[in-house]
Amino acid sequence: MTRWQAGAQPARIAAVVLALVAAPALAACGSDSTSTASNGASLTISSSAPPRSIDPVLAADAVIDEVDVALYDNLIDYTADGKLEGRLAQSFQLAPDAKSIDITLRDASFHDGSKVTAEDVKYTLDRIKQLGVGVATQVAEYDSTTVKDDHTLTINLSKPTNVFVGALSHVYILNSKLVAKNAGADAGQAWLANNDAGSGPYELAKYVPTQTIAFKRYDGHWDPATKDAIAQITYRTIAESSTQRDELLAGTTQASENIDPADLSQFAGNKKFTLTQLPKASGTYVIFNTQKGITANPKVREAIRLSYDYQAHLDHLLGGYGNIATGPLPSIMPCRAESAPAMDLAKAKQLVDEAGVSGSSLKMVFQPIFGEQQDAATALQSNLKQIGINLKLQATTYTDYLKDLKSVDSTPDMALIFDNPPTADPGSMLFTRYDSQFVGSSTNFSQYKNPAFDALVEKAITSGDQEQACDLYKQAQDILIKDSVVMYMADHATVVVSTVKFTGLKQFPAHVGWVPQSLRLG
Amino acid sequence: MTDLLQRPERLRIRPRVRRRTARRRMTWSELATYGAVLVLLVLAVVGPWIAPHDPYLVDQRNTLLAPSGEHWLGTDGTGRDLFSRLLAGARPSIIGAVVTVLAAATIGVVVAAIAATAGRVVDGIVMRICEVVLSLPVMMTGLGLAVALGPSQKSAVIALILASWPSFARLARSEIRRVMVSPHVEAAQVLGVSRWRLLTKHVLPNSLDTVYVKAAMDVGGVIVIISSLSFIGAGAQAPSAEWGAMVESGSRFLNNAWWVTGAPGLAILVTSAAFSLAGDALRARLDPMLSSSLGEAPR
Amino acid sequence: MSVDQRVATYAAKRALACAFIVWGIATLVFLMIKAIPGDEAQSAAGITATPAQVEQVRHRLGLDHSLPVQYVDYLGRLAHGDLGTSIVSFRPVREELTERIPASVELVGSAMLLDVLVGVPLGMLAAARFRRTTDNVVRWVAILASAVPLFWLGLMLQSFVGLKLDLLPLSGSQTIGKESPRVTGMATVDALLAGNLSGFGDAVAHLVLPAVTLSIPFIGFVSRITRSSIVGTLQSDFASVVRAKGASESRIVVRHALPNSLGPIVTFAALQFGWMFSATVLVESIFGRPGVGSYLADSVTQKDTFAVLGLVLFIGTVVAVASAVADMIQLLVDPRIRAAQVGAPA
Repeated sequence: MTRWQAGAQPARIAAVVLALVAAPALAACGSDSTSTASNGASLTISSSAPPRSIDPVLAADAVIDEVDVALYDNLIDYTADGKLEGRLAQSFQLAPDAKSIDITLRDASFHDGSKVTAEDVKYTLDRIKQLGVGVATQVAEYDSTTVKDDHTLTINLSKPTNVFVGALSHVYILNSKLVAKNAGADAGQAWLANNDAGSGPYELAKYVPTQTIAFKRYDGHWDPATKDAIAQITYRTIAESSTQRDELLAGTTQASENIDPADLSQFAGNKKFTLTQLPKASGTYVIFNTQKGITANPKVREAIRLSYDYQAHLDHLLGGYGNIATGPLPSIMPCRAESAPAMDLAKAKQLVDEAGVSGSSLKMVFQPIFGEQQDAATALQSNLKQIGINLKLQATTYTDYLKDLKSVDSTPDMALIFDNPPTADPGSMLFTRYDSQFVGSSTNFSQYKNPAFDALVEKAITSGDQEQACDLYKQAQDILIKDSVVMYMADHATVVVSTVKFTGLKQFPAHVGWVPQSLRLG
Repeated sequence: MTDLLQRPERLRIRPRVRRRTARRRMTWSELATYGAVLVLLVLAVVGPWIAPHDPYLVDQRNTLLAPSGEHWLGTDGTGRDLFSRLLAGARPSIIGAVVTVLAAATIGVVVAAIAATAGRVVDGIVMRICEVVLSLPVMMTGLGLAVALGPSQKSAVIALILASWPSFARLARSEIRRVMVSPHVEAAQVLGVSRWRLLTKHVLPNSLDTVYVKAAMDVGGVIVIISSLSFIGAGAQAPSAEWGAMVESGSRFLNNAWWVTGAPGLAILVTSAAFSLAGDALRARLDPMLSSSLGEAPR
Repeated sequence: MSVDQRVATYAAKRALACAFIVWGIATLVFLMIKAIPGDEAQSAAGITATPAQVEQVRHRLGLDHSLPVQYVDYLGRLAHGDLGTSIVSFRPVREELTERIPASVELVGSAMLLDVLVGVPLGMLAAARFRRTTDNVVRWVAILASAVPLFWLGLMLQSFVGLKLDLLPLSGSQTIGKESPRVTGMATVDALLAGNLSGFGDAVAHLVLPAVTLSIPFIGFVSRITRSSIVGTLQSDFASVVRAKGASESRIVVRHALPNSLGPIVTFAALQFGWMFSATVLVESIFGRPGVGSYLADSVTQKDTFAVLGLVLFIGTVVAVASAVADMIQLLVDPRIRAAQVGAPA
C-alpha cells in the first residue's frame, strides 16, 4: 500500500515539486514568534501527482500520507532515527501477551479548538475497520477500543502482534464530532476527501482539488518543536518537469521532488540547482508465485534473478539515484541480511536447463504508469528470452494486482512492483509479505509457505527482546535469499532539486514521502 | 480524424451513386497514394521480418542513442532499435484499423439488410440504436467500452467496431432502400424472385459502392483513433510496438530525445494521411457525385 | 399556426429528440457497466473492502435487484445528477467534474475561436480559387490536418515551441503567483474580472499551445464547410447578376457569399463544441490543464471505471445538446431551412 496505489499519474508527469518561498522576515520566524503566514516564511510543495483525496483512511497511499501527516496527528510515530515515540499518546504500553495496547493521551486540541479525547481515537479506529480500505490492511488486527476516560483507552487486538504499535503511525486521529456533523451515509468519506478534521501542526487554509493545497501552521499545536515550523506551506500541481525547472529558475518555487529520473539530467547540469539525495524505504521488486508453475522451483527463481542487469537499472532507469538492492528489506531498514545480486547469464541458462524448463512461458504483471517499471519489465523480458524463458508482460494496476492475490491460482507467475515496508519495523514487512498465514490474503505477495521461516518470524514479532528479534529477522531473511523468494532490484531515493538551502529534510521511516513540519529554512 | 469528430451523417449529401462505365485514366497523384497504401500494407505484414534489429531486444547500456548508421532512428528508453519497432508496430497499428473497418462495415451491411427487409418495427428500432450510438463521438464510445472490457489492443478494436458499425448500417440501409425501389428490382420482385436471392443478387451488389468508399475513407481516421486509445492507456499496452503506445512511452524522454516520440507519431500521421488520400481518390473514382459534395455545408 | 408557433413546435420536437438521445446514451453506458467483467459491487467497493462492505455496496447500488429494476434505479440516480463515485478518491464523480468544467470550456472556446479565424479565410480562399491549384492545396492541407494525431502534435509543439525555442509555457494554466481569485474557474476570465492584466497575458500564453493543438484537425473542417457554402452561392443566379454588374470575384466572396455562409459556419461551430469537448481527453493531460479531459485520461490510467463511464455519459450529453443547439441556430439564422423545417414562407 504505497504511493502507487492511488493518485498515480502517467510516468512522464510523475513528479512532485517542493518549493520554499522565503518571505522577507525569515529571521523573525523563531520559536517564540507569534508570526502568521504573512510575516513568516512560507513553503510551496507543488505536485504533478496530486492526491485525489485527503481522507486519512487512505493514508496508506504515500501521496495522501504526505498531506495527512501535516494536517493530522497520529498516536505514535517513528523518529528519524527509527525509534518509536508517542505523539498524541503521552504513553503507550503493549500488554505482555501482545493482545492489547494501553494508551494515555496528552492534552491536545483539534483545529476547531475542541479537545482530543479517547472517543476520537475509538471513532477513528472503528471507522477504519468499518470502511476496510487504505490503512485498514495495516491495522487488520484491530478489534475494538475500550475507553476508560477522556485520556485513557485500551486498544484490543484480535491476535497477538508487536507490529501493530508501529502501524499506528498511519492512523491519523479524526475530530469525531466534526466528522459526525458532516458525515452522510458514507462515514464522512466525501467530506473528509476535501476537508480537514485534524489536530496536526498545520491546518488546511485552501484546497482546490488536483491543483492547490495550502497549509497554515496551527499555533495551538501541542508539540513545541513545531512552533518554528515554516508558517505556510502550499502544494501546487505542475505537470512537466521542464515547467518545474522554469518555475525554479524564475524563483516562484525553490525546490522540486520526485522528478522522473529521465528528466533529472536537465537539473544536474545547472549550477543553480542543488540535488539532494535521501534514501527511502521503498524499492523495485519482482515477486514470484512460489506455489504454482515453474516459479515454484527455487532454481528457476534463481536463474531469473541471475539474468538481470542491476547496474544498468540503477544507471539508466534511475539515473544513478538510489542503490542496487542488496536484500529483501530496503537498505535503510535495521536488522537486514544482505546478498547483492549479480548478473550471470551463463549460470542462469545452466539453471534453466537443469530445471528442464527451457522454452516455457511465464506471465509477469507490471504497472505501465511507471516508466521505471515499464522499462524494467521490458528489459527483463528481453534478458529472459536469452536464457530460454518466454516472458509475457501484462499491464495491471495495483488494485487489480491485489485482487489477483486472493488465491494462489490467480496470482501471476511474476509481478514487478514497487514495495515498501508497511511500517518502519522490519517485522511488518517480513511477517505480512512472507508468513504462510497470509497466503491468499493479498499481503503475502509470493504466496510463500515455509514453516521454518514462519517459526522464525512469528517468534520475532512476539518477542520482547529487541536484539533477539533482530537476530531472528536476519535468519529469516537468509532463508528468503537462499530460496530466491523475491528478486530485489533497486532501492529508491528521494531526489530533491532546490535553489535554496534548507534543513530538516529527513527521511522518517514510517513515511515514504517527507514530513513537511520537519523542514526549516536556512 | 474524421470519425473522431463524428461528422454527423446529415452533413453529407446523400450520394446518388451511379457506377461510371467509362473509366478515366489514373492520375499520377492517385497512383502515388494507392502505391503508398500498398507499401504500408505490405510493411504491416512483413515489417517484423525485415526489421534490422529485434524490435523487443533491450540494450540497457545503449539507451536513447541519436539516429546513426547502426540505428537509423536511434534507440528508445530501453535501448531498443526505434526503426525496427516502427516496422513491428505497423502491424497492430494498420491491420488493427483495417480489421476494425472491415468488421464494422460487414456488421453494418448485414444489419442494414435485415433492417431494410424485416419490416418497419425492426427497422425503426435498429435506426434508433444507430442514432444513439452515432450521437456519441467514436472516441468516447471506444474509450468507455475499452475500459469496461479491460484495456488492451483487442478491447480497443472490439470497442471501435461496436462504435462504428452504425454509421455503415445507416449508409447501407439508405442505399438498399434506394435500390429496392428501382425498376429492375421491382420487376424481379414481380417475377417472384425469393427475398434472399433478391437481396444478394440484385440489391446488395448495386448498393455497396458507397460503403466501399466510406470504408476506404474511414481507415485513416481509425488509425488515429486506435493510436489515441493506446496513448491514453485504453488500448495496446507496453511493450507493444503499437505506434500510439510508443508515443506514450517515448514522451518521458521529450526533454532529451524528442525523436523517440517524434518518429512513431510521424508514422501515424503519414499512414493516416496516405489512407485518407487514397480513400479520397477512390471516392473520386467510384463516386464523382460524392466527391464534389464532401465537406459540403448542411443542405 | 403562425410561424412562431411552428418554430416553437419544431424546437420542442428537437428537444424531445435530444432527450431521447441522452436517454439512449445513458442506456448505452448502463450496458457498458454491465460489460465490466467480475463483480460490480466488489469493483465499486474497492479491493480492500470486506465481504460485509461489498454486500453493503451491493445493497446501496441496488445490485441485489433484477436487471430491469437496476436499470430504473440507475436512471433515477442519473436524474438526481449522480454520476457514480470514483473508486480511487471515493468522491462523487459529479463533484470532481464540476470543478473541472470551466478549464475545458476555456480551452474549447479558444480553440474554436482559432479555427474560425484560420479556417474561414482558408475556405474563402479556396472558394475564390475554386478548382484551381490553391483550392487543391487547401483540400490537401485539410486532409493532412485531420490525419494528425492530436496527442502527438501537442507533444511536438511542447518539444519545439516550448522546450527548444522557449517561446511559450509548457504546461499548466497559470504561472505561480499570477493567479487571480477564482470566480468562473477560467484563468483568463478570472484575470480580466480582477483587472489583472499581466495575469491575463500569462493565462493566454498558457492557452496558446493547447488551443492550437486542439484546433488543427478542426480547421480542415471549417475551411471545407466555408468553401463549399461559398461555392454554392458563387454558382447561384444571384452571383451571376452581381458579376454582371461588374463586381470583382473577391468582392463577391467577401460582401455577398460570406454573409450567406455564416449560417452553416455558426451551426458547425456549435456542433464542433461537442466534438472538441471530447477531444480534450487527448490534449489536456499533455499540457497539465485541470479540465474534464485530463480527468477522464487520469481515470483511465487509474482504471477508475465508474469515473470513466460517468464522464463518457457527461461528454455524450454535451455532444447531444450541442448538436440540438446547432439545429436551433440553423433554424434561426437561415430562412431557407426554416422554410424546409417549419414550412414558413422564406
